[in-house]
Order: sequence, then structure tokens, then C-alpha cells
Amino acid sequence: MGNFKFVIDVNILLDFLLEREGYEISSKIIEYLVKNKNGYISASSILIIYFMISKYRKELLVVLPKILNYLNVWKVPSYINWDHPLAQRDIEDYLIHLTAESLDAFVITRDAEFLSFSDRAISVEEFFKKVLEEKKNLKISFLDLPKQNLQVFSQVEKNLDDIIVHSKFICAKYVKEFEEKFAEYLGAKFCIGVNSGTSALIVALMAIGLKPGDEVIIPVNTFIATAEAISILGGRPVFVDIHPEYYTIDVTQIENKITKRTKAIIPVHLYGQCADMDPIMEIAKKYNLWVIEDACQAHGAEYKGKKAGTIGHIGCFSFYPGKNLGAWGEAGVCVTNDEELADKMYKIRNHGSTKGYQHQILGGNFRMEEFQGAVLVEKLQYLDMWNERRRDVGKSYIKHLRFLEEKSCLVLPKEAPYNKHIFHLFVIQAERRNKLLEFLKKNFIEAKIHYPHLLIDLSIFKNDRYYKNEEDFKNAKRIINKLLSIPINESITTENIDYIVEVLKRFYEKNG
Amino acid sequence: MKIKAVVKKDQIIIPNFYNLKDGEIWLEVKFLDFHRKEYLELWEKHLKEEKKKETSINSEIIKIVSEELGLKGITLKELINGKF
Repeated sequence: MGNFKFVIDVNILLDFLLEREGYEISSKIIEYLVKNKNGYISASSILIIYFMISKYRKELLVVLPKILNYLNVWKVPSYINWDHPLAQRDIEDYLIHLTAESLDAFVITRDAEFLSFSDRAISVEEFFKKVLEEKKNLKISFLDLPKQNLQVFSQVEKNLDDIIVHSKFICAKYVKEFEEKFAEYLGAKFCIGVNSGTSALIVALMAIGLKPGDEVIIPVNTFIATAEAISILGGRPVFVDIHPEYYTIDVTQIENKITKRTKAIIPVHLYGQCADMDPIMEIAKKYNLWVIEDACQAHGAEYKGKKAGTIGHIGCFSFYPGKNLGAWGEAGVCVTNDEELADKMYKIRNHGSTKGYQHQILGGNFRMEEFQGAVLVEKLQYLDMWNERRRDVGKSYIKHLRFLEEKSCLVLPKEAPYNKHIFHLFVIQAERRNKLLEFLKKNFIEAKIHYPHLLIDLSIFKNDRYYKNEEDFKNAKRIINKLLSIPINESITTENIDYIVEVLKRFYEKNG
Repeated sequence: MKIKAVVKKDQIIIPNFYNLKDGEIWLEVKFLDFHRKEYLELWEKHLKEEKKKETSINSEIIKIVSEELGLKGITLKELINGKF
């Protein structure tokens, strides 16, 4: 998708639909917009379009909704400025202008008055120049959240209106609906909506009764929230090396780290791929430990046909906006099949209470907002489709970059035979990583590092007396300075993938 | 008393049947609701007027850019069938 968005003025669309003078140009404009999914029609134009079609092309009426959907109907906002010069001259044009304003879009028009009185209006020539300029200055961002969010906006908008009109903002019907639907999607009995992935981990650890001094085993390469949640509650994260190929916790190293203070294991389903859960569950059973799955990067990922988050005692999810299933702000959930744990977590998220002011246990404010429930319940319907698209992008990268792996320039991600990877991130090990990162940046490709430091190397953990034996982390140490995440998301195009592959190839031709 | 007035752009012109003299008078004007069809027909007329006054297009620019972008122009049939 281009970064520019365009609203089409009525006459340009009518040129196309009525196949009248101007058809040739409008057909090119519409071809570009439907291919790039960045064309819109103001809701204010629908009435006249329907009228004109029913008058002149009645046979098209039945397919008109389909055509309009390709071009995305967008709202007219309520913040009307009656003093706007266009509003004073032509209210219909002004409403189109306002639609464009709410989208941060341009209006393509041939109406001289529109062009004179709206700073959003551009001529047909300007439209073509803009899209050409965009093509020549191709920039590939790591994520394309605006596109994803605009795709679901119409459905979400309805829910947001409902929330504002009724003004029930916390843990009400949309959170409940999302909890039910997400539990059903995963195949879990209970789902407890909270206000972030970090909160989900804290709530889960509180529910298992983590006490100060208790130890929790976690992988050494992950986002800090996993360790942080333990430390905040006075527990001690005990780090374990990672699997050399799959980057999840090395299950062969877990037993070495178990002591009489060990309370739980938190395997992290990193980058979209599950840790090897069977051995983890066996160890947990043997030593009577809790297992909390950190599935914050694994929405819809599967381990031996089971959804991530449903295998351990509790599964924790984050819906940070950039996740495969992302909220429009902060949100998370805990899932479990254990009624007792669920009951505790419902209480913990709400100051230890499920009934007004009857605080039975110690909790906090970890509640999910209605706005997030309203967004997530709509986006959940797209999750499998988006995950499949990510898997296709992943396969495409693997196919086209294999020759660089064969030349030992990089190592591609591997999917464990027992897993369904959902490619939250596409992480390669790259030789001359930092130089490559710079090269990608110069070529307008946004890449990132997940993560630049092992947790044991962070100042808050590295002085801990337990972490003297660096040999314990040899797999992680070997790769940490090579890890590089290249763009992957459901919106990335084949053209984008080809370009990224070509830039990587060019880099290793120079630096191989 | 009913007086038939003429509406022209933003002016309401009232015929001076009564040889009114210079000065001010207050008239109560009621706007009758448009029938939707009438309104839409007016809108159509307005769009047609706008169409007549459309800005001209430099087709050479369009030709060069379309070639560069590989745009041939989609047909209604292709759009309806989702072939793009």
C-alpha cells in the first residue's frame, strides 16, 4: 500500500460507472486505487451515486455495493466547520473534503472550485505525479498498522459509537464478548481481559501465589516484561539458554536450573513459534511446578495442533498494537482451563474483587478497557487470514533468501516440526549485522533487532550472583549480535519482498 | 398572502407587484422540504454543470505516468469480477 490515501470526487467515479467522457482516465485512477487499496469514497456521495446508477445504469445496482467496497466507503465526521469557504459554497464538496480530512487523504477532483477552496483537493495530474513519486521513493516500514486498522475501521466504528453513547468504558460487554470469543478461538475455558501483556504476566504470577524469593525459570532471550513481572513481585527470574535453531527456551537446560525455591516455568513462544511444550510439562509435573505460557508473540500459533497459551496452567497474551492481534492501545489476557485460577485472576485484575467493594484477595487495577475489547473482537475475525498471509510472506523470504544461507551470509528462521509458526517476527541471523542494518536504512527498509541484549546482560540482572557461568548461555551469546528482524506483516506486497531480497543480495555481493 | 418568489443562486427575488417604496420590510419565508427525488435531480444538475466546467487534463502526463506504473485502465467488468 502507498502511504498516500485518496478520496474520489463523485464525478470522477461517475465517469467510470457511467462509462461517459473521462472514462479512460478514471479507469486508470480506479485501477491504481483498487490495486493499492488506498482509494475511498465519502459516505456523503453514496446517495447521489445510487441515484445516478438507478437512473442511467440500473443493471449495475446489484453490484454497486461490491464496487463501493473495493473503493472503501469512509465516514463523514461530525466536526463540521460551517465557516470553511468550501462549506459556504458547496456543502456536498465540503463533506467530501471533510471525509478526506478525517483520513489524512487527498481528494482527486476536476472541479475548479473544489481545487481552489480545499487544501485537500488535487487535480488528476497531481494524483498521477504523487503516485509516481511514491513509487520512486519506495519506503518499506516494519509494520503497516494504518492499513490494517483502516481495513477494520467501519466495524470498529460502530462499536466505538456504542461505547461512547452508553459510556460504559471498563470491562463491559465488548470485553466480555472478546473474552468469550478469544477463549473459543483458542479452545480455552476461561479468558480474563487485562490491560497489557505485562499485566497478564503479573496477574498470572499473583494467581499462582508467587512469593518474594521464589524462582521462575525463563529463557534468556526475550522481551524484558517476562523477567520484570517476576521481579516486580519479589521473585527471581532464573535464565536458561535458548534452542540454537528455534530461539525458544532450551528444554534440555531447564532441569539444571531447578532448585527448591523454583515455583514456575515461563516458556516464551518467541517470534511466533511455540517452545517445545511436552518436555516442559513433563518437567513441571515431575517437580510440581506451575507453567505459565508467555504467548505474547504467538496469537494463533500451534504446538502439535494445540493453540499457544492453552497447554500450560495459564497462557498470557499481549495485544500491543504491533502484535499479530493488536489493540488500539494497551491490552492483554490470561487464559486458563482451571476454574480456581480463573476465579483468582478475575479478582486480581479488579482489586481482588468481583463484587462491588468486597475485596477478598490482594489485587490491583489490571482491567481491560472497553475500547480495546471493541477493537479486538472485530480484529479477531481477521487473525487467521493475517497469520496465513504472514506464513506466506515467511515462505517467500525463505525461498528467495536460501541462496544467501547456502553462502553462509545469513541463517533463516526454522519452523520446528511440531509447530505452526505465525511469524510475528521474521528473524534472521545476519553476518555483519550492524552494517546491514545501516544499508537497509539507506535503502528505505525499516529493520529492527529483537533483542539487542540478553536479559542477563542488562544492568538490572547482570549483578545477580547466580549468573556467573556464561557457558550456560552459549547458544544465545553466539547469535545475539547477529539477530535481525526484517519487515513482515499481512500488508507487505510481493513487490516489497522482491525489493528487500534484492537489497540483501546487493549487500552481500559487496560484503560477502 | 402567498407571493411566488424566484430563487436564483443565493438570492430570493420577490416581484414588486405593489409598488413598494424604498425601506425595509420583514417577510416570513418558509422553505418547503425537498422531495428526495427533486433534491437528487437538483444535485444531478449541479454535477452536470460541474462536469461541463471540469479542468482540462494534460493527457501526455497521464500517458507517461500510466506507462511507468503499468496502468492500462480497469474495466467495469474486471472490477466487478475482482480481476485486478
